[in-house]
Amino acid sequence: MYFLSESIKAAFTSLTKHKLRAILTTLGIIIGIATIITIVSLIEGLNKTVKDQFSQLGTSVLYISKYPWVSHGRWYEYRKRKPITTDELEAIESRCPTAAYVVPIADIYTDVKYEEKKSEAVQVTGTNALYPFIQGVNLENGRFLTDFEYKHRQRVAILGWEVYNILFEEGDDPLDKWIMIANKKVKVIGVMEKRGSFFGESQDNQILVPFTTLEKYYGKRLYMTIMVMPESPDKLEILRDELIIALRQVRQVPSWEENDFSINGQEALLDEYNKTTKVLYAAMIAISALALLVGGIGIMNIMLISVSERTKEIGIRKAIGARKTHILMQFLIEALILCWVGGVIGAAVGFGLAGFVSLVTPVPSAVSVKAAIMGFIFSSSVAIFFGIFPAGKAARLNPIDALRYE
Amino acid sequence: MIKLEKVDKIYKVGAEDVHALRRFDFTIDKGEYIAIMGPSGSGKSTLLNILGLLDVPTNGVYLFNNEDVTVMSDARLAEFRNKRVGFIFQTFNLLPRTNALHNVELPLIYGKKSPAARKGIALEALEAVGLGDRWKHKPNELSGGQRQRVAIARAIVNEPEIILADEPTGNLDSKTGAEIMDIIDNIHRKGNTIILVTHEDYIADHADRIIHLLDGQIESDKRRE
Ligand SMILES: Nc1ncnc2c1ncn2[C@@H]1O[C@H](COP(=O)(O)OP(=O)(O)OP(=O)(O)O)[C@@H](O)[C@H]1O
Ligand SMILES: [Mg+2]
Repeated sequence: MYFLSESIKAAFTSLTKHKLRAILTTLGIIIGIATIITIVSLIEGLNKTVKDQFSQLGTSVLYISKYPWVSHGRWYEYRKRKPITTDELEAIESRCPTAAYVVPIADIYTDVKYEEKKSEAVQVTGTNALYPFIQGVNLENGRFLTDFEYKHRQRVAILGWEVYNILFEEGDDPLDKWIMIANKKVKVIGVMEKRGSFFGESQDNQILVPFTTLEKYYGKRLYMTIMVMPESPDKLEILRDELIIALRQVRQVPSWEENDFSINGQEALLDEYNKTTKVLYAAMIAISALALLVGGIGIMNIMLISVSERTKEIGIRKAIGARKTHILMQFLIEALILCWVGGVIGAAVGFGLAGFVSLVTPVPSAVSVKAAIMGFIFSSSVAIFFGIFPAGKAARLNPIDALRYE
Repeated sequence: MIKLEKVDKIYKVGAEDVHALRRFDFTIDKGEYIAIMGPSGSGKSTLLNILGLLDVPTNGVYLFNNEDVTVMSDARLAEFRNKRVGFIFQTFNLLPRTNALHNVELPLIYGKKSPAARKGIALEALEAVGLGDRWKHKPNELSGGQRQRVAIARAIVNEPEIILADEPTGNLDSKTGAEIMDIIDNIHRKGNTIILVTHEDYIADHADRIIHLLDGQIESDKRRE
């Protein structure tokens, strides 16, 4: 194995003699590897945040709504469906024993005022007393809605962290103060802790009110979703079956018709997301395969030139005892180093590009080991695949023919 | 030690066959000092290349210490070229951009000598040809005579049984050539077998046996008494 260091030395001697040529040759590799690294970094970054976000949806929560989350272009059919109402809510509460928590939600967006201060386009969500059990909301101050407030359409509100900060001075006690939501006086009963954002939308620019109160003013215009959670995650499928039965019954769906409602879960979204990333991966594979093919042919070309330029050297080495494998290794290592140089430059470009994209767009990126390993494997494979022919050609040279070569 | 029997070397040039060696019979004993002479194109280099395992005969048998060379694997041939024969060329054939020491080390590298042992052995060989102080120099920083000394050091570094030299003084002036011949004489005195191709009588006079070739055959084979 002592000859390996000799092979590496010889490869470096050859490469440093033609630095510019080496860099130009690896352009295809650089582009190919940069593509792989950029896309893998972005997808890895997305994966991380998306998985985080999805876990916020709750892994074992089912969302009943008129429209499915993932449609397949059949909106015209879904439009004909009856809206989801409190009838469905009550049906679930009374007929689904597995449903531990049943929570309605419906949003409107409106301005909110307190004295001179105003917060614009606040998400006002109508819900019930069980909301915190599904959404994991903690209160900084005050208390949550009660069943009583829900049943009697009380004008009470729980402020999101951001809304509170806009409407009130620091240290002000908001409890029992009356704020104006779309010209209706509503009493503040609590303030939520900071929740962060969900798919880019702030969850702190929000106010929670009893669903029934919201319904009183907005009625039919509300788009209602019912969140249902079983007592334990393994009961999710039983719950789904119970929901279907209860909902078909209350909505009087004839047995030969399909469900006229949608039961959504995070896995459907995840499926959709995975489908999208698959498309991205396919695009990446196509672009990088093309670039690597072009790069590989460039490598093969330059290696053939290198072999013919150094025919005499090969002759000398053979004359003093180099074996076929020694010559083969020498040129393969040269090809490998070329491709690794291209790979390293490509990786730097790729990570840079991914970083840049996540800087100027909301798409996050992650410097992933996976991307780096993929880049290494791909550049090595290209080197070996396209280097083996020139290296083999060099190895097979007859010593005397090589020595005589001018 | 070496025996050629009915060796032919035929080059195909277009449709024509060029017989560089014809039914060539030749025996070399251990410790001989042979000069090969003859007009240009008579087959001297062809013979030496075959003896040095750089080329293979078209027909015939080549026995090296009773081992048939014509059926050897590439690896075995490489090993023989590495350990058994040392080749000295008219044009030196050193690796450019590589210093004298490394050039001399190369046969040791392919001969699987450890890096630690290598440097000492290579330096010793360079000292034996009087270049101990020039080991750092690259070929283009050395004179023709010095380059040929490096090449000789490289040829002897693995202590081969036979040294083959194809017009080793051909590219050198007569004074430098004489110095090179002194070194070769020295190697012979230490017991090595030497075969040397030359056009010059005064170079051939160093040898104990002088062979004249003509058209790929031995014209005369004289021993000095
Ligand atoms: N690779 C080759 N292809 C074709 N013919 C060759 C080849 N090598 C040698 N020959 C021919 O073989 C014959 C012998 O050549 P060789 O080189 O052995 O001569 P030589 O005696 O060494 O001559 P010189 O004194 O000029 O070096 C010549 O006719 C030459 O043209
Ligand atoms: Mg010749």
